[in-house]
Amino acid sequence: MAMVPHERSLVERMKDKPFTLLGVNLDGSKEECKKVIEANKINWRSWFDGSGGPIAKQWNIQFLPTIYVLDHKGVIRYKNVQDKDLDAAVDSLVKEAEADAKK
Amino acid sequence: MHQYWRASAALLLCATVAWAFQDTKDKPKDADDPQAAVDALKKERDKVFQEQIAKYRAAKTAEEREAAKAEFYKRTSSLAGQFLAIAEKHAKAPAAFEALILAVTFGQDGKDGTKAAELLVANHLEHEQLSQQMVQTASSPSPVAEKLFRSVLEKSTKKEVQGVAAFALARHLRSRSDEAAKQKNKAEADKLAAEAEKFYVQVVEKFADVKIDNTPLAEPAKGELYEFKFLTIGRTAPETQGEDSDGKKFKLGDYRGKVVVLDFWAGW
Repeated sequence: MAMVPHERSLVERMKDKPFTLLGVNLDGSKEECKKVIEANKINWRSWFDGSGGPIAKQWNIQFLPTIYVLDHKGVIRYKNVQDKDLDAAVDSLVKEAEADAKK
Repeated sequence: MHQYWRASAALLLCATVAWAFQDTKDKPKDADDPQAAVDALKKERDKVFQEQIAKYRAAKTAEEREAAKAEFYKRTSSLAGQFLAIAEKHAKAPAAFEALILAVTFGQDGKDGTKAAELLVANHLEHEQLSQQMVQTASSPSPVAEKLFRSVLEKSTKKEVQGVAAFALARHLRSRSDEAAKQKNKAEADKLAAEAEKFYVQVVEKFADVKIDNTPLAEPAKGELYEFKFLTIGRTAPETQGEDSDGKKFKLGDYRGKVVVLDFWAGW
């Protein structure tokens, strides 16, 4: 959960940009998931996948948090970047998306 | 959440932290006792880990993090020689096995690690903890681990040990490939990736039913091979769908055209 405040501000900062943060929540139950979302003021949408759920299996997740950054074409561009590195990754990809949109 | 047992290759320092706090016991022993010498050196290693992890966490830029990592490797590889010295002095002692494993773990590509790998294969091929230790050592960035796994795979006569060696080799080569990709060394990353894939396939085809921690090797090998082939940088993300906690369905494809940060998380 250490990354939550940073991610929250990233979502806030990017709200008018071609950007979205999607979560895959691996808590034990939907109730637990909802509680955590409320308590931590989580401002992004999450799939509720459950402990060892199908999405986590599909993506072979071995540890949490795991982060993937995809560009606007759906291509995986970064893995497990955090903090300033995450911001830099998102900034450069958003620029690419905006440049492409103008074409 | 037992499936989250694989150490993160991305965060090498944190990955190896498991080693740092493993069975270091306080037992006063005389200076010539090999186990006491190994334990003392492990304490020294713990200190290096703690100091370097603190530096890594305090680092503010990618450059500073790289510098902390480089210093970590320099300090730990000097420990390799000291572990090897204990094992050579007390070749017959039970502590020699652990000392050699640690020398390989920290040996990088130097002569100390190479010598330790040779001694392990020559004297400890039948050691009951060899398999377990190979899996632990697989996430070590020390390239000499590759030599150890390759010779165990070649020289061991037991299918269970060969299988684990092949699996450790696959995982080790893959994490080195990831690291090379991060350093933008594409040729090296591709070469290591092709080798890693070869051994993952070998595990699935030849050693599927060999078990580690009561799990058949085929399970982690298949998952890691899939991740490795389809979930790497430069690949298109697979379509992903499910429901949110209110039961509303949505899918990744809905967000095409936007940059997406996909975050696997939990509140615990």
